[in-house]
Amino acid sequence: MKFKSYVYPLSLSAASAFLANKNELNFLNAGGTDLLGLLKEDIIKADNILNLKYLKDLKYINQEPSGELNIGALTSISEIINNVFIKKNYNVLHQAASQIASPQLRNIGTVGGNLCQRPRCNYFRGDFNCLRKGGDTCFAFDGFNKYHCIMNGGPCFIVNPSDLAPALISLGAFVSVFSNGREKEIPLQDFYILPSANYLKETILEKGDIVTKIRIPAQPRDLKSNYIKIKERETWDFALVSLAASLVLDGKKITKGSLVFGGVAPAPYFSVKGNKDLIGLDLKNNKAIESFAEAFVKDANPLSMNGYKAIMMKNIIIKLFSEII
Amino acid sequence: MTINFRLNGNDTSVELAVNKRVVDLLREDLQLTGTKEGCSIGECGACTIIVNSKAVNSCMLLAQQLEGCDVITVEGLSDGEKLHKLQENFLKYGGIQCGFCTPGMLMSAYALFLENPKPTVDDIKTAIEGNLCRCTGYKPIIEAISASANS
Ligand SMILES: Cc1cc2nc3c(=O)[nH]c(=O)nc-3n(C[C@@H](O)[C@@H](O)[C@H](O)COP(=O)(O)OP(=O)(O)OC[C@H]3O[C@@H](n4cnc5c(N)ncnc54)[C@H](O)[C@@H]3O)c2cc1C
Ligand code: SF4
Ligand code: FES
Ligand code: FES
Repeated sequence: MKFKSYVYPLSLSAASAFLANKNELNFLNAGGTDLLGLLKEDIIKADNILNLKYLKDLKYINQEPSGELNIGALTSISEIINNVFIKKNYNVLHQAASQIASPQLRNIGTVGGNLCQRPRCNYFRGDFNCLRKGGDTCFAFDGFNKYHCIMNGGPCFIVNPSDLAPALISLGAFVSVFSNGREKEIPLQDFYILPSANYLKETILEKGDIVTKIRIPAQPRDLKSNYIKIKERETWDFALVSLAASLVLDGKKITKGSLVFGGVAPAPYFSVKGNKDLIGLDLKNNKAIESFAEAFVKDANPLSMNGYKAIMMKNIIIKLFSEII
Repeated sequence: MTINFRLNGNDTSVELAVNKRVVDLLREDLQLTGTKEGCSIGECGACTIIVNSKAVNSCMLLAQQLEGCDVITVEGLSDGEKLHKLQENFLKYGGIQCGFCTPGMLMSAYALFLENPKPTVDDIKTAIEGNLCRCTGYKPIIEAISASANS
């Protein structure tokens, strides 16, 4: 782990210009819980590291009179968990944040860093020059692929590791990115890209871009939401499969809703058709739920060791529906 | 590069290599070896210290990140020779066997008390969720923390 300097830019433009420098590889250190591992294992090589902690206007949770919620990129995961408004109204986000890593890592890790963290593929993290690191082979395809994707994979088969991303996408969140001197806002679901489009990066971010804010639009008053995460160990573990759901019910019937999965695809996974088919689904009707869940996993294309994820995906839908009413 | 921060109540200024982690700063440069390093990857909690009132893994932080922060390590718990009540209760309830996890456990418990002086057993379990102990089976640790909360 070598780098020349550690700097504290005093404005977003200065930070962005520093990051954009074509002759150097410079990285943002938000909490650093992901960055430090990448640096230590030489997965990335850095010339300089930037810390934004003196930019106070990136650390906040603001509830607007309109009902929308703005969250600064440097807000810690713990601050999300402790926020009373989020706990009361956005259970999906509260639950997702509460199940990340460990208390200590949640105190350090930030929302922006969580959304931008790199994949956990053991070849990517290890000493393998795989596709995503500029090589010409995906070692997971024929190798140890228990933790890889079953949807939207190829030529690289990572899963997106973030717990916050599915929760936020289910709430229809937007992300603001400071890019080339101005801020632009896009739906968070469009922030992630698939390996088929570009297997060298996971997000639309270009050199010099900085995530500044997450905006969650006002939600229906009677929103019911939840996040279920299946993992091998209670603490520290990433999701094998997770499901974020934000629903509106009329009695036991779904009138509006969104399901977003973690752990199954290179980007948080949702199905436009699936979310359409949600409408009208009767949560008392076990048969209907079963065939709905079945349809959701129809597109799964597992590798040699991760067929279990398709079964989990189906069961997690059924579990979530049975618990939400 | 020089960094300035408060360490166990004292203003501290250290000149160090730019890529040093906090755990190395504490153990190597400052000879504060109470903080332990187990896994180095954020998965055991032995290296837990308190930064700005929050428990954090000192193996997952660059020392540069401490600039301007208020830091407490296990060395800051006792008052001279007089042990903190948490330390006394860890001894009394057998919350220590090999002792490797103890400094981290103490710091997670202390951070919990800073936030919530009257934690329930569930609060305690959540607070030490990020600390592994391979010896005690956790029960005496939870009892020691509970007893400290009630005294
Ligand atoms: C043991 C362990 C267990 C974990 N378990 C989980 C888990 O269960 N669920 C989960 O979701 N995560 C998990 N994580 C990942 C954890 O690192 C993130 O959850 C954390 O939120 C990352 O935030 P950070 O601020 O520390 O990121 P950093 O390490 O600071 O940043 C991560 C990456 O994003 C970039 N970046 C950071 N902020 C911005 C920004 N504002 N704009 C543009 N780029 C940015 C950085 O340059 C870096 O490349 C775990 C990590 C560890 C070490
Ligand atoms: S899944 Fe992606 S990151 Fe993992 S080995 Fe294959 S190309 Fe590399
Ligand atoms: S040494 Fe830091 S968490 Fe294990
Ligand atoms: S006492 Fe040995 S690890 Fe806890």
